[in-house]
Amino acid sequence: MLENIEDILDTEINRIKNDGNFKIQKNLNISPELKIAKILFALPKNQIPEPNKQRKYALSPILDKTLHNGFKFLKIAFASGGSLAIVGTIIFAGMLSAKALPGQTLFKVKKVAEQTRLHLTFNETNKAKIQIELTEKRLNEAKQIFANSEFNTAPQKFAALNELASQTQITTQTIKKVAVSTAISKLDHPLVTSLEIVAKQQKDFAEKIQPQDGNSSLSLNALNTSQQSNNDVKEIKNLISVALTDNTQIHIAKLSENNNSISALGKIVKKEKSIVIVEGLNFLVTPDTLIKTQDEKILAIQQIKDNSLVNIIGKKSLNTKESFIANQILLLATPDDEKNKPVTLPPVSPNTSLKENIFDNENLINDSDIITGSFIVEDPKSEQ
Amino acid sequence: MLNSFVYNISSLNSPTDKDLLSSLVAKAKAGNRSSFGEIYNLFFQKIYRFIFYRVGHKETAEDLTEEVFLKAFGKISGLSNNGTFEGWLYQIARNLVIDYYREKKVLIDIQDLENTLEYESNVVDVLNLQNNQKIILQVLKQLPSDQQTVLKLKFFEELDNSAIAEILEKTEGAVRVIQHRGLTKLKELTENLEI
Repeated sequence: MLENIEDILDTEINRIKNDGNFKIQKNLNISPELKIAKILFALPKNQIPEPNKQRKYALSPILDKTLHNGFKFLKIAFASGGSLAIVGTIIFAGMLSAKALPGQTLFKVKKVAEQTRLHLTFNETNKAKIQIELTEKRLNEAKQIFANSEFNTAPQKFAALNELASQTQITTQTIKKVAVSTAISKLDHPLVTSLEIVAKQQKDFAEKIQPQDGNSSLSLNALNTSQQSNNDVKEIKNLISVALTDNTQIHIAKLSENNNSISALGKIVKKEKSIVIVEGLNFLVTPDTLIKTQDEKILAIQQIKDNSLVNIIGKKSLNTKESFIANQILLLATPDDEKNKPVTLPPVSPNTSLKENIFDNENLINDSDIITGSFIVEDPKSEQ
Repeated sequence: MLNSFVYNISSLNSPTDKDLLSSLVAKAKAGNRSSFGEIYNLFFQKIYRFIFYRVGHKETAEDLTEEVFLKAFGKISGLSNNGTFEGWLYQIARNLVIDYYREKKVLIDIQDLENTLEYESNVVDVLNLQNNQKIILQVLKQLPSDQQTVLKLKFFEELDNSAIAEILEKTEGAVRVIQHRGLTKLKELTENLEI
C-alpha cells in the first residue's frame, strides 16, 4: 500500500507513461500535476540519427586494456589516416609486386603497373619497345620459376608459360602493326632485332626445360610458344621485305630537328660511277661513304648490283640541287636474294642483352646525326 | 512493498525481463562475454540516446557510447549488488559526457548538466510544439535546478526512477520527492495560464 503523495503521483505518472491514452481522474488532488505530466510526456522529440558504428566490442576477443586506451586514437586515426593508408597500401603493394612472379597474388598488381605505363605511352614505336621489354621480363620470370625449386609446382610453371605466350603474342602484334604502318623501314631495325633475340632465347629456354621436366604438357607448351615467336619474327621480316621490294614504296625519313638528313630505302634502279639513284633520288658516293652488308662486310660501290635493295643514309648536298651525299649504304638484299630466299638478319650474340641492344642501336644512330628511333615518314611525292 | 512496486515499473517492464537482466548481469560479472554482449544489445540504443542528447553530435555520441560499454565491461566484475545495473550504466555515461566537456575545456556546471548546453533543444522538437507545451517549457526554466533535472530525465528521456537516482546520486525516494515538488511548482506557475 502506498503511503505518501509522492509515491501515488509517481505511480500515476508511470501509468501515463505506459498508456498515452490514460484518462486522468479529475477529482484527484494530483490531477493538475498529472495533466502537466501528460503534456510533458507528449512533447515532440527530435529524431536522433541512427548510430552506424554499433559494434560488438563487448564480444570481441581482443577487448583489453590496450584497445580500451587506444580506442580514441584509433577512431581519429581511421578518419585522418584512411586516405594515407590507401595510398601507402598502393605504394607498398607496388613495391612488393615488383618481384612478384606469375601465379603469385601480387603479380596482378605488377601487370596493372605495366599496363599503366603502356597506357601513358602514345608513340607506337615506344610502345613496341616496352612490349619487348615485357616479353623479356616474362621470359626471365619463367626461367626463374623453372630454375628455383621453391616455385617448382606445375600450376606456377603453366602460369609462367601462359604469361610468356600471352605477352609474346601482344608484342608481335604491336610490332607487326608498326611494321606495316610507318616506322620500321629496315630489316635490322632495333625492334625486329630485339624481338628475334627474345625469340631465340625462348627457343633455348624451351629446349632446356624439355629433357629435365617430366611433364610433357609443360615442355610442349614452352616449345609451342617458342615456335610461335619464331614464326612471328619471320612473318614480321617478310612484311618488311615485301614493303622494301615494292618499288612504289620508298620510305624517306626526315629528322625533325635536321631537315637536311634523309634515309632512303629501296631498289637501286640505276648506278653510275659516283651516283646512286634510288627512285629518282640522286646520292653522291664519296670516298667517305661507308658501304657495307648487314654482317658488317665492307663493300665497294662496284660490288653492288643494280636492283639491289639498299638503305641509304645521307645528307643534302650544299653544292648540288636535288642531290644528296651518301654517308652510308647498307646492302639489304641482292636481286638473287629477293627471288630465292628471305633476307637474313645479322647474327646476334646470345650474351647480348636486349636492353643494351636497343640502346646501342639508338646511340649509333644518334651519333651519326642522321636519324633517330622515332621519325616521320613521308611519301616523296608529297614532298615534290 | 514499496520497493517491490518500484522494482516492477523499471524500464524492463516485466519481472521476467528484470529476471533476465539480473541473470545476464550475474553471468557477465562471472566473466561471460556472451552475456555482456546481450546486455550491450539491450542498452546500446538507450545509452546512445542519453549521450546524444547531451553532446548533440552523432559520431561523438557513438564513440562515447562505445566507451561506456568498454568501461562497464572492465568494471562489471566489481559491481556491487546495491543499486541497479541500468542506473550504473547511465552514471558511467554521464561521467564520460562530463569528461568530454572537460577535455573540450567547456566550462559547465557538472551538477547541472541537463540544464545547460544544448541539451533541451537536442531532445525536444521545438518547431512542432503545441501552445501548452511551449508554456510548460517556458515555466520549466523557472524551477530550481534539481527539479528541472529530474523532470527532464523523467519526461524528456523517460528514464525510470532507479536510473535517475543513480545518475544524480540520490535515493529513488528523493527522486520521487523532487519530482512531486517540481510538478507542484509547475502547477502553481501555470495556474493562471490556459494550458
